[in-house]
Amino acid sequence: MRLLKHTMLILAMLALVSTSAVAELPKGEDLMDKMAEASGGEKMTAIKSMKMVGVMELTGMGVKGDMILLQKAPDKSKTEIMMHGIGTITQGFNGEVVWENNILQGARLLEGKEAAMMKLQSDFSSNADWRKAYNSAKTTGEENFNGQACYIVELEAKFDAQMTMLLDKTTYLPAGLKMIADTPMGKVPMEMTFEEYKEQDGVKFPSKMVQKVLTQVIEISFTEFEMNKAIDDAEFALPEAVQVLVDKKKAETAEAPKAPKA
Amino acid sequence: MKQFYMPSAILALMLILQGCVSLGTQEETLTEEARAKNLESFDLLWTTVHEKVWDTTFNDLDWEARGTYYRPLVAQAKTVNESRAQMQTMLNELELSHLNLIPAEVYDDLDTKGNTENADIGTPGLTVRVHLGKVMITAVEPGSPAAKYQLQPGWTIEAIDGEALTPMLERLKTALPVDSLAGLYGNRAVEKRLDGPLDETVEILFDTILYGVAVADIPRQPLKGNLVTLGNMPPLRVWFEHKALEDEIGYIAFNYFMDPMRIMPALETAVTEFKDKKGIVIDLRGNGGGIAGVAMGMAGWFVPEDTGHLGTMIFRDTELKLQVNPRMGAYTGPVAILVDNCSASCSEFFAGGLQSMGYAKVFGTQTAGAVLPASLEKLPNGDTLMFPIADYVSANGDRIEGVGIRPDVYAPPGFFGEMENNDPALAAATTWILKQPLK
Repeated sequence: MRLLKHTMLILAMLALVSTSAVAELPKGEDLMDKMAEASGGEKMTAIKSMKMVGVMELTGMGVKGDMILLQKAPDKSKTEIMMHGIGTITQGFNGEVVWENNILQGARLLEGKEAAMMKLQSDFSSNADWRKAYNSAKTTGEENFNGQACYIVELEAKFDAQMTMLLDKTTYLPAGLKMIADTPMGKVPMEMTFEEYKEQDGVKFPSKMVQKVLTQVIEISFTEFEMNKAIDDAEFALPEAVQVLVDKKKAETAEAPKAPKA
Repeated sequence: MKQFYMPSAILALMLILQGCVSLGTQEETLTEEARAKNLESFDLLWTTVHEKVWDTTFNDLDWEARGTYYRPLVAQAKTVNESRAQMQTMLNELELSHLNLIPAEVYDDLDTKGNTENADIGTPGLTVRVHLGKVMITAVEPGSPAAKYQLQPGWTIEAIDGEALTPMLERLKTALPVDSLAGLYGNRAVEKRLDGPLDETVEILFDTILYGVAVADIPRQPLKGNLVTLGNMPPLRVWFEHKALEDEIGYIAFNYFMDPMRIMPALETAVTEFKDKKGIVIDLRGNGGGIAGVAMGMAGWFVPEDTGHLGTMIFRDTELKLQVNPRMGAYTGPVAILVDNCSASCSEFFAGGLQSMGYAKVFGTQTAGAVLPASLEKLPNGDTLMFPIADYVSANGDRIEGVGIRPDVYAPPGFFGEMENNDPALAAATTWILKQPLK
């Protein structure tokens, strides 16, 4: 009996230690607020357009490319990747239509979570207010990620997707992100690291990103940042091949028989 | 913070499905520095296989033990080739296609030629296939030196430059990890012997079947196609051709699913030109594969509706469907695909995928069964490891690796005098197309 009591006591103590360890973790919401503040806080609301120029490499394969990202408030964006020896892959959101056009598979309209992800990337309003993009943030532990001591914050995105953000314990800047991406081919586990932060107009951006996906490593380095320079809306106009798909979809929707009224 | 997500099209680019290259011929004695680099390379090669190759059973081998066994052998190797041979032998124990060591000089050769046209290498203009243990001429390019010497489809080649081919093919078959690859590798070994310096002839001993054996010194002509490089992949000559056959049938042929900047627009042009034809023949005989994304993109020109995929890639941590994005203006008439034992990788899932989706009939002989998607890892000694990152099953659930795609109509090449037609697979395909109802 004495042994049992002793064991119970130890278990109780362990439980207390465990509980107090969890209690010591900062709240996910607080950490995300600190992340927003560290990234630039209110200064991020002043950003109305952005142009980023960079290079990317599929390091194992040795395939390289040049890339340009354009974003314009409130929610337009376009990503163009010119892969050497392959051709151009373009993805965009004009505020209404999420699309992709590439030399391999031609034009297509993105739907579901894939489209939601692109909209999230395009939305300026969530820059300073993470709550517009995520329903909840919960701290679940700590991890040494990419050589940095980090908090693990589980995020539930507005479009029903889970992500794990690794926030640096010192700077509160994102050190990494883990997620399962929805693609037309299926669900793909991805891990991203954010490195070499640079400041522009009081806002911090990672100038290097490393994505691990399907045993491959993709390195992206942004070499040019331009903020609040005029970007013509024509940059976000739908390519002809995409417009054809939009028109076809509209025609199909118009032709579809309407459900009889109850 | 702004986030950036990679377009999913990049995923399809990561999947290389291309036949393998042979080992180099370096025989130099290793320096201590080179020996150290080779050991570093061995360690990275072993770890890459351990961590990234999809088959976590390692063909029921103890991979740790295999590493322990082979590492000293690599350390003791006296030449570059010996070292590579030990590493390749270890890889072969896994019995997987696309698990190969690509020698650094494959790239060095290219660099010395200025990364342009390889102008000093030529070919006599023959297409050959290993069939029933023999090297058979299956086509003679019109206007080529071989055509001028009146070589005929259906003849067999017994020796090249004095080397008998049968023993070489037998040696090769014994060394191969997968039986279905015998035709593919045998063919490459023969082509390697036929091709050579443009200013030299190649001595071919051939059997005319009906009139006995003969020997001829055949000149060479320049290789066709554009020399293409993509990252760490070996340089390849890529060609694409299309033409109208008799009876209102279109014909498309290409040797790799590579060089998309050239072949994707070329395919669009061909499909547009052939839109009113009674049918299209896609000739993938000898097609060595390439990039999965190119094959998926090409399939979109023959799939008018969003109805499926070309099969499933099974990775360690996920499964990906090789989804087809239907193109506006896709061809809707009958499509016949020609394959043989040298149709490998992408050409297998392209043919098998369209076959199982019901958009094409397949004619010819069983394919190579070398269909695993691969990735590349540059090694410290300059060589590159090509390794399979996923298994593949066809759209109807069949495993193709080591088996190949079975044609709907078996139409093998024939020996001279045995067949009415020089090209039985093409003849069977055109006959089938002409029996199909008009659109």
